Amino acid sequence: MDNRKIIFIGCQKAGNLYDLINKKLVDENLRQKVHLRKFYTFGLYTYKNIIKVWPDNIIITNITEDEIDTFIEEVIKNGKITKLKDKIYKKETHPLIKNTKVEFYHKQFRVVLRNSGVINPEDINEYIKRNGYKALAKILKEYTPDQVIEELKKSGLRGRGGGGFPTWMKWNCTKNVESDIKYVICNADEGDPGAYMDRSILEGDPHSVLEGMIIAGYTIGAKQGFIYVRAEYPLAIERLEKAIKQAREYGLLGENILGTDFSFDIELRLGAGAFVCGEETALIASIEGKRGMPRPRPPYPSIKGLWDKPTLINNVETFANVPVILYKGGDWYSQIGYENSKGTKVFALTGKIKNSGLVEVPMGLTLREIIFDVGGGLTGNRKFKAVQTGGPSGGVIPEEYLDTPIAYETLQNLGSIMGSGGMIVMDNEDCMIDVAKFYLQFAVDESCGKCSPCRIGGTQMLSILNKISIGHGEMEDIDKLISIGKAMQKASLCGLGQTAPNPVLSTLKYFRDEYEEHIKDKRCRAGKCRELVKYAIDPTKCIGCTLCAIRCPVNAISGERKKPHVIDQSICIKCGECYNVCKFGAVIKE
Amino acid sequence: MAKKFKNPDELFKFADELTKKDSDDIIELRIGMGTCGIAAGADKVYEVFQKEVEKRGLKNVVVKKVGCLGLCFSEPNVEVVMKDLPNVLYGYVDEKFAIRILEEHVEGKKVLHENILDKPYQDIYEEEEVK
Repeated sequence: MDNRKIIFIGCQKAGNLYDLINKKLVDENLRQKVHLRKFYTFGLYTYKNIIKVWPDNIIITNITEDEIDTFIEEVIKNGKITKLKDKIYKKETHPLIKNTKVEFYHKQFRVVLRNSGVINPEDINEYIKRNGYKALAKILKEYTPDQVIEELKKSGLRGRGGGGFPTWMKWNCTKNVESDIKYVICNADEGDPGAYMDRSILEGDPHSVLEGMIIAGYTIGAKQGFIYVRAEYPLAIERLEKAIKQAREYGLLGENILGTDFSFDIELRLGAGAFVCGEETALIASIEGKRGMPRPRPPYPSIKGLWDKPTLINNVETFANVPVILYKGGDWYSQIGYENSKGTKVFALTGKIKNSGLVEVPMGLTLREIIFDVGGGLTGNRKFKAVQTGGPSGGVIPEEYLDTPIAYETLQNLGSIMGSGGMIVMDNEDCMIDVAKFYLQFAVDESCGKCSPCRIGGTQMLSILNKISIGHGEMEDIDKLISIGKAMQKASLCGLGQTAPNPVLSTLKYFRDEYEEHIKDKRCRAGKCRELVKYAIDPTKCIGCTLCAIRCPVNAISGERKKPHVIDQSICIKCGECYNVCKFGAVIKE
Repeated sequence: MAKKFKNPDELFKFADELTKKDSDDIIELRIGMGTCGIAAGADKVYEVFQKEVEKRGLKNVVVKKVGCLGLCFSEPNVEVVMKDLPNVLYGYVDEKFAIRILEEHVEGKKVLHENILDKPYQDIYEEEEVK
């Protein structure tokens, strides 16, 4: 067996550390003694250079070039670390994850996604091996429903679907209503553009959601549960069906669960892809077989829900948290997180970001840490402009608020919301009017049309935005947008209409100058609003290579070979092809 | 196959038995097969692994479908877990690279030079193992 050390060197901010160490080792004839590997690391904002040494299993951070000699001397030659001792990463308590021994340079801590990527989601035994269904067994053995609620209360868990309502209160409320029939519903109708947390949980670890629902059923006294999942998630549905079947075979679902008097079963209901069905009352209507339209609350579903029976409805991520809380205890869980927002949150990082993907971080981490450390910064190292959180119900957050800790309240104060966890990163090439238009268009398309503030208000706001983006805007349009938006927020029937103006209002709040620029100067600085952009050729830079003229789909560009070309503005359709193909930067977008 | 648990204690007992059954010699290839991984070609990588493992008669190698690791930008991702080597996570794995993983890492017991990713997180149960 090869017992050479393996040295992993973090390679994105490490610069030429790998080359320097490599060279040094070759010079000293030590290269054959170790394996040297580059690896791609995450969460490196505070730690510049990360080196992992195996099999010693130590992590050394912030090594400078001057210390390479010492590193080779101590780590490779004699294996006794003295001078570099202070640079060894110590697993210490972090204010956001107290009393745990987490290697926090990663910045990610996984509670909800604990099994995703580790176990085979189609094999219940693997879930059980990772402490699965132990929380359920423990509860059925020794907990009363009130004790379950007590643990949830201690944990500080709040709904992960967007609203952030304390979970224990919802459970307690449903439990206390007298009724022989009650229901548990898992809301897996994830519809925000750019969000796919729930899908990944269902695909990677379906049993954790089932276990959370069974515990909920026991606590509130329900016998039947439904998972309302989008038909667009075929793999999630397939894995859920397998999981339900396996759980039934083991006696974890169905009659007399684990030999006790408690019986509970779960069925799937497929949603046909209407965004409004993510709203709880519309979702209930959809399960009942009616058209998915919201109804006024109160009465809340916990009093009068599915088929007028008391119904507990929670989001996928909320249910996936429950088994951990009951397995490890509410006190343990409440040590993770920030102020009134406990636990972790899964975010889907998309847009102009290097490491796009799913991340789970403790609440209270700042936006800057999530985007630049975990996400690796912007693609092409472009300049950050804003981040959109919360999908069509959320808003944008500009650069000056990047150091805000993420929590339900802090995001709300900024005019955005936590939402289900979509996070879209935008750079200078994104136009804020265009972004607002995109989200509003989405909300207008998905409005069910039942109440007029949402139906008419959304359409009117959209037409004003369209007017501004083609250069026909007037200054008073801004005031109109604000007053319609505020009316929608107050008077709409459900969350969709109440939050639909948020993207417009928040872009107006932080990027009002961009709106004014579109209206007064007829200019779009990001170059996104086609009607306001003009392409021209800089004669001093153009060498007459004819590439743009060849590529132009409408033959608007003319000129002789090796002489500056010109664009005929009356023919130009502003497709931007010439701008993209020019190798000399001669095409100007203005 | 499965029998129904008759009481909560049977589940705890079963979980213990499962953990005990784990043998050290097992080599696990964990392939990220969420929708995102499959879209990036993880299903083809999975097939290659299955076929090659059978062809080479590697009886102690388990080719395992797992959920999404969250590293969408580097899909398909494969993690190799085996004795005597650190757990290594590879990104951007295609069919050719899959065969290299089998030949050089699994059979040759040497960590490859390319596409190594640092597993980006700790989870709650690893913390228990640390204790």
